[in-house]
Amino acid sequence: MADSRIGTRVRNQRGLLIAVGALLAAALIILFTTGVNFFKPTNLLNVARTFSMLTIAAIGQTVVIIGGGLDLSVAEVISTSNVFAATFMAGHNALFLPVTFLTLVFGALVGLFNGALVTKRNVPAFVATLGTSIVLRGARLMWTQGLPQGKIPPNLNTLGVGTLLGIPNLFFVFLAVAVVISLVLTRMGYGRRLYAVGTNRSVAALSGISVDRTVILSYVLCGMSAAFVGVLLGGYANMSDQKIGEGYDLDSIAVAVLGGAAIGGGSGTVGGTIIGAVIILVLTNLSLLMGFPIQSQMVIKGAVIVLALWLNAARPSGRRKRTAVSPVVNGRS
Amino acid sequence: MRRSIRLIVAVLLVAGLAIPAFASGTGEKAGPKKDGIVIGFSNAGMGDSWRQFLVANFNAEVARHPEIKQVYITNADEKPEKQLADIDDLLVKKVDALIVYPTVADAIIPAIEKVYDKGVPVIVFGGTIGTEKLTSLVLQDLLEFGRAQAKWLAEELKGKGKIVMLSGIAGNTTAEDRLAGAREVFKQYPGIQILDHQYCDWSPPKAKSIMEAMIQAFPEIDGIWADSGLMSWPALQALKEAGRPLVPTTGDQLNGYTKFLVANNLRGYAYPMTTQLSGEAVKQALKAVKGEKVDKKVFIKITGYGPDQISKLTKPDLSDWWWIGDDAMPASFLPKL
Repeated sequence: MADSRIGTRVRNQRGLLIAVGALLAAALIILFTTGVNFFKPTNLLNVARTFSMLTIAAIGQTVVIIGGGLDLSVAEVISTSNVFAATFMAGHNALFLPVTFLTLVFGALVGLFNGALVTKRNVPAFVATLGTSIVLRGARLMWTQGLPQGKIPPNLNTLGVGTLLGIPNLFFVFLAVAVVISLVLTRMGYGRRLYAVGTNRSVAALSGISVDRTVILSYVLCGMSAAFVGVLLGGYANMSDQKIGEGYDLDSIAVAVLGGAAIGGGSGTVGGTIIGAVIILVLTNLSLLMGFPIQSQMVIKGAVIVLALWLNAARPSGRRKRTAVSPVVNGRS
Repeated sequence: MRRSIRLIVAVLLVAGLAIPAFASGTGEKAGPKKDGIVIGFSNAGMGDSWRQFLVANFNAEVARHPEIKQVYITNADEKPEKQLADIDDLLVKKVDALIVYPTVADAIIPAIEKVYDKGVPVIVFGGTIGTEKLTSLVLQDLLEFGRAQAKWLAEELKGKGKIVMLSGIAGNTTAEDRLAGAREVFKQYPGIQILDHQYCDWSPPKAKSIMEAMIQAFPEIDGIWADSGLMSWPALQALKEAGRPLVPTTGDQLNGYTKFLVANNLRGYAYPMTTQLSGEAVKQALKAVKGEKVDKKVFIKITGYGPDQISKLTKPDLSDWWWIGDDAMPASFLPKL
């Protein structure tokens, strides 16, 4: 059963891989015709940093989407964690790890709250997480009076901008997160339960799965990944900023959906999300390198998402049905 | 009987409508007052350190005038609808003059006009507004802001070089005016080549990632025109991390930016977006209350800070979010950052 599941995923991602190939070919053509070099190592280094932070947030979002939810509080969790971390680290190297741990606990608590609202009170995910997001922003502004806070310690800054063997430190952090979440989704019972719950909650509950606990944990994972991104962004920018997470809510959803996660639940993979992020970032970076206005990035992101959803919806109905059923089987296996 | 009741009701209704019409003024100011003055300040919000300095300068100016008996300050949290209610509240408190820093200028015009019609002097500061029904508008020339920065950069590069431009928010009047002023000047220097212009939303992380892409796209960048230190500072960090030469930049009076310039021994130009506008608004309000002549438009004269002044004014030990040159006031008024 597991083999056939992996087979389906590879088939589902074939289109995405072709898209990445086409994009890289386009980047080559642009290089030879205009001289704009996407492949320059220093440029790849920059893209890798942005990619790492966006993808960590998007992997958290993917987990929630697989379980049938959606998390719109990601951006505010990132901004609040960023301000929280900078305030309590206050520029001290020794406080980097303990405060990072506390920030992750904060993210987990926000996720717990979101998950509880969605499961125990049956509040639609969209409304629950939007509400949390507004509360977080208000609380942060009340706490800080809107003033930038704290100081980033040098070791966090090194993590954010430094490299190891020519590869950005942030990329290794991303790899670790991606491997752990991927293993959780594919090799652990929790992953199987999550796909089952996302596909059909009633059936999952009938098969003895604790639906509430499974969904709540997905929000906790998403909250923690967003909080982690808040810390990493502090290292990258070397400062705290009240609006540092702006855009990450929709970008993380966009990347997950582009990578094959279906709004409504039951499908989505870490691999797909990674490819989704690559597509979005290659496109937006190329547009900047070619001197298009930054606003064009919004057009590109929007167009890519609409195109991805359109192609997804245009699939024959029989195939959609099959993908919807298989995860339930996974849940029982 | 019924007819006479109707008649009485009609007369009362007409009288009810007419009395407030007579009572409301026609823009004429109330009689001059020399002492026991009450001033209301409807502030747009307190969302950043610049706004904190704005209020600090307001309070410091108020303290210089013993004739001011009472001051009321409201905070609209950037919401025009709250500012409308705030202005009504201040009117109820019978202020002798109202000072307004608008949230969205055009959204609060009715409130401004209402105050003016009641004969209460109303001073608006910080930006333009689409009404003549106000006592005085105190502002800073934002075209000149961009012009002065561009002129310094062009002269610094001796009229020749490749530059990139970083602006605030697309469509925002402040950002667009600064940009228009700068472009106007750069046109007069044919040797200055503008490689790229991008909007960075006055967001340091965004400015940094945009600058990183510009660094990749352009092997030679000789100067950076940024309309704020919030963007030239991260842009310089990006250059430093990429191992590229640190070039002349422009920005505003943000301490974080000027600290970076001083620490790296760099040449830069800081043109202040002054927080002293609020103090000037207090002066104009007092003139109006005392019956002195007040100009309809008051432009504050600004002088930019070159490298020498920057090294004198920068506060290496204070917060990155301090505003240099705007802190000439007793310590008790300064924001705690």
